[in-house]
Amino acid sequence: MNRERTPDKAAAFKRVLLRAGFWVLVIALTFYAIFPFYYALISSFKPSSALFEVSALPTALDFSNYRTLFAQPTFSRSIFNSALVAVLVVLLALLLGLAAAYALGRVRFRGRGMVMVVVLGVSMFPQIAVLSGLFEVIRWLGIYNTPWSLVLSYSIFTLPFTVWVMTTFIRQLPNELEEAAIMDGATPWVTLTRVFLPLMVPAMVTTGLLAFIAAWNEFLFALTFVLTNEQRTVPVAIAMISGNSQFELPWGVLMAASVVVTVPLVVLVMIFQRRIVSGLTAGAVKG
Amino acid sequence: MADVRLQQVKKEFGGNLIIKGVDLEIKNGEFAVLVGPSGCGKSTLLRLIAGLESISDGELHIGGQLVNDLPPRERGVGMVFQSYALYPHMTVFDNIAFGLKLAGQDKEAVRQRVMETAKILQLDELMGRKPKQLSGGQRQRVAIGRAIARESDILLMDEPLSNLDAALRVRMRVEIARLHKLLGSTMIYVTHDQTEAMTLADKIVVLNAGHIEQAGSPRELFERPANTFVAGFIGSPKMNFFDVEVSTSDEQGVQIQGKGISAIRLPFASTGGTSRLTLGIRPEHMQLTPSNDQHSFTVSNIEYLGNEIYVYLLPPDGTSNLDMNFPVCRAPAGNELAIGDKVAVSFSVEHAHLFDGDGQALPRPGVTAIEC
Repeated sequence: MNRERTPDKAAAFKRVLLRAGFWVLVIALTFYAIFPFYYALISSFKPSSALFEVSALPTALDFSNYRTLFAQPTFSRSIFNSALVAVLVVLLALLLGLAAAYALGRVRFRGRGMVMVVVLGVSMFPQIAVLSGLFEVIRWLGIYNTPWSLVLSYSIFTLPFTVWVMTTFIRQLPNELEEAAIMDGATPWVTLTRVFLPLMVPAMVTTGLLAFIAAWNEFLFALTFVLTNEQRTVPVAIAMISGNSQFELPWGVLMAASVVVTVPLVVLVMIFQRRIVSGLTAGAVKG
Repeated sequence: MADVRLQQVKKEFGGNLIIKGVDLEIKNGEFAVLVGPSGCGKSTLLRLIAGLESISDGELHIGGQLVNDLPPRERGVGMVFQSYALYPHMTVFDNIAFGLKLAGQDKEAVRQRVMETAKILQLDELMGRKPKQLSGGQRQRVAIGRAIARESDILLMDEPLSNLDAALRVRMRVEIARLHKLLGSTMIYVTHDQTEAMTLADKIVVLNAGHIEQAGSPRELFERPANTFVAGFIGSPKMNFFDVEVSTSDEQGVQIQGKGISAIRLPFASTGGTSRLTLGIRPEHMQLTPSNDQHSFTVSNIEYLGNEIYVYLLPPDGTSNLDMNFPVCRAPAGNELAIGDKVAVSFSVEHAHLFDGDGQALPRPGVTAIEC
């Protein structure tokens, strides 16, 4: 027994070392990812006098920044605009994505591969390249300076991704499932909504969440297609927050605004977290 | 009622003819089994009847009505899929009820019908479970329940037992036979398992490369195969074939001779116009007796199966045909044979089959027992 101890000890030591190294790495990565937000959070609770004192731990719980933020006449309105646009984009993307995925993943027709490539190709243009053209389109449609301009422009970039992910997902569902529904007398619409839709919830949550985040955070289109404060979305509204003079940048209020727009996303991700994971490991749908 | 009639039914996939003109009649209440090697078109034929594939040419009648252009739900057919294809997000109850609800029946009628179905299949206890909480056999029963709930006149089954383990397969086989008697519906069943075909069928349809080789009762196919394909396909181990030559033939019969087969007169009327024929004998119909004759067979291998043995034979000249089709013989397990033994083969005449150059069975006028 004693003779065997020594290699055992060495192995145990190595294990502890590896484990310690692993956790050091985890902590480093977490710190890297979380710290900016953490610092914004504690800064937002500092009174403006304490703002430039560096401290790692919260030093005060002062809500004055939040009060100033919501005292601004249009900030709440901006949040509402963002939410409206993001929700509309998600609904549109999911509805069209689901219908397109059924057609592209389940119906054989000539040029299906071509359509898929074109759909993907559309999303490859950089935003800035389509900006001026899109501006003309939006002017022509008469939706300049309305939420619809943003719904339209965000959908251009959200839909290809949604369609691709959902098409891939719907293709993994066994063929016989659809045939069973046909034998049961289901029309394509019933098959889609009552057989495929419930099975596609993970894919829809995942793509929907990503579409929501993209729409919520988007800046360039929101800046270009919206003119007035009443129609503005949150990212632009934050950029427009200004101090009492052009030489003052109200950091505290900016930090508070950042926290306010980030929290809904964090909450959403936490709510749907388990769904996302099951979306990523899906394919275990075998009847 | 619900008889099924196919007239010159053809199916084409991208220029390839998969089903090459099938004529078939399945009577009301009959249990028909489609068998054949992989890719012979048996599943395609079933899907044509179900309406999951469109018919390229020919006519399909169900209950006297031309149904070529009717969608599946209007054909009065139910189908059980190989992978069951249960709706994973629905309970057993909802799986069975789905078709009934879509047919627009009211809630109470649906519930009643589902419960009746569940009783027949002993699913009562499982109604609230999801498919993933069921064993293979239970899933199979739910799949059958879904197909029979709508009281379709015709039940189609595509290799329904192939995903089950051996013991369960035997039990479900018996179960399906019981169901067929109970429901009295017409059944069309695809399988590649001979035992299933032989035990379940009223009528076996042997398909090969998109056409029917022979259709008939299990006994007919086993005892009077129409050609070498059916003869080789039905029965396990498969029938042994020997090349033989005709020495004389008259009204009394045909005198044949071949390697290791001594001259024998068989009661067949004609030789089909050729002098080279194929003699077919099933492994269980061959008797082996020790022999010193150098023109006899050599035992090349013995497989022990418990209740019996399979004896593989090497032809007299020591060579075998290229596809390694050694003749095989079934013998009682107590047999004293050993590898390398010389054996003579004998068989009774009524168990001999003769096929002409195209593999078609020669007609036999009447069976007379002649010992050889």
